[in-house]
Amino acid sequence: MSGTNPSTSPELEGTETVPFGRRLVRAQRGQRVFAPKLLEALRRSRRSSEGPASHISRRWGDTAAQKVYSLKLYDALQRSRRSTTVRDTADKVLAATARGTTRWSRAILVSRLGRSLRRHKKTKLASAVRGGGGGRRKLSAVGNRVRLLGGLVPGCRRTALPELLDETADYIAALEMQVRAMTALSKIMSEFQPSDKLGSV
Amino acid sequence: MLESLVSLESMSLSSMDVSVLERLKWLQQQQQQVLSTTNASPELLQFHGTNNDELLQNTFSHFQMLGSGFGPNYSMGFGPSHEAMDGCISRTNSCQMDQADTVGVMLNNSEENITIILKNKRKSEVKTREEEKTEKKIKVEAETESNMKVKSNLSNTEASSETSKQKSKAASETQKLDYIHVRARRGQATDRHSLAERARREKISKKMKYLQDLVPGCNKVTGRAGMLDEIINYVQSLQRQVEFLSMKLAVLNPELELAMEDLSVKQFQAYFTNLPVVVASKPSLMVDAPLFPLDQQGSLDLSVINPNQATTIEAPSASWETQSQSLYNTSSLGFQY
Repeated sequence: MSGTNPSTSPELEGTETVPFGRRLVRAQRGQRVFAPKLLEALRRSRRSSEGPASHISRRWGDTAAQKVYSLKLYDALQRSRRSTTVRDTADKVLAATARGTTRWSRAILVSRLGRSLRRHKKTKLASAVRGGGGGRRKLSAVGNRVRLLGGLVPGCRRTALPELLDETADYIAALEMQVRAMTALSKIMSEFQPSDKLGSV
Repeated sequence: MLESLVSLESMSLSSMDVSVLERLKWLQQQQQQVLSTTNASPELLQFHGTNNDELLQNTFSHFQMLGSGFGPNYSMGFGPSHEAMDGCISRTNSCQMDQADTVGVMLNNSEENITIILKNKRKSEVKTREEEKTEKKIKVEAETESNMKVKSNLSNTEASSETSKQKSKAASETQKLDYIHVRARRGQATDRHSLAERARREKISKKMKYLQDLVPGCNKVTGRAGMLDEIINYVQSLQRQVEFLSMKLAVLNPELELAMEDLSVKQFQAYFTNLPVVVASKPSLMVDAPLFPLDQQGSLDLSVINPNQATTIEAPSASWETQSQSLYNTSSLGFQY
């Protein structure tokens, strides 16, 4: 799995630059970001006729993955500053847990770099869809919904339908895990409240 | 010559591994020898006529054995082996024998009207009859090129194509290659585009089916638009839940930071590791219903209540661990979907 290109080489501990479009994402220290296309190709070659089912539920359905996520989230929350919302850190940790193999995780990791900075400066984010908004002709019923779905899944506005469906499946599983972990975390944290003010929050 | 053929057949009958291609190559070589020896065209035809019956019978016995042998062995792409064979072998009413340049084995059976025409082709496109069941290979060029080299000695430079041309499908199919065998259904077009479209549509429907299992409540709706609607709703609801939870955590967070000065992070992490130790929850616990407007998902069945919340846990004390462990057993239900 050695690539001549250092940017596509796998498993580099420490800072690793993953090329994403024209911007580079720097993974955090100690995190391993595999070359995404390489991993996906490996996955596809290994995949039998099971289809998209197995590896997605295996990735996000484990309680082990949930524990990893909640620990990381708690860590990140402790280290977070005032500028970043909890939502952003949660998304970021989720994307980090995904190891950058999916499109939405990469998009989240990239966009978060820009978003907190830009919110500071109070500028609007550049909308990804410019041509579509201007001259949108009448799409079919299915096509409209496909566009909607692409807008919901981060980084998948322009992807074609089969890839979009794959990303959606992974994204849904990841979101479910995120919800489970965050509910448990909030429960634990609320029970630890030493102050009497909150009561039953 | 026929004796050599018979010997070949006995040889090949014993070992079914000899591919049809090689066998036919043998036959063609024999034919070519016949052709070279007799150069006059009318004699050729007569020779064809005389030899064909025996050849026909011999090779048909072969094909029958092949058919029976292929059935159990080769599952992919063959299906009913006879149909495969029939698909390969075109049914033509007329066999134009006046083409002296047509090379190959021409076997005519007046009863069944089956002809096998082997020719050297430049194009690798397979022309199929649309009324019959056919098989089509994707990426057929590379393989037919190799076939062409094999039959190069019988090369026919003319691209005569009055009769329906078919390659030695049977021969080429026995070679183990990673092709995608797509069987076209009756009455459906078999050209490249529609096959690709059909493959694409099947892929998409497979993925939609998987999503249907993932999204609850999607079984009732039929059709792609409805399913996509459900999926969109579900994703939106999940995102909203994450939003609520993050607000909740944001409230809890600064207080926790202040309170966490006494506790060490490691102790807190120890709580997380206690989570897999799950004891059955006590039925006396009440439900702490969250403020989510969504009740569709069965996965968010938060049926854990903490009666101790009114009496908050005090800062680390000795009885801390017993209390908290009991609490953890309940809260660990959150992980237990």
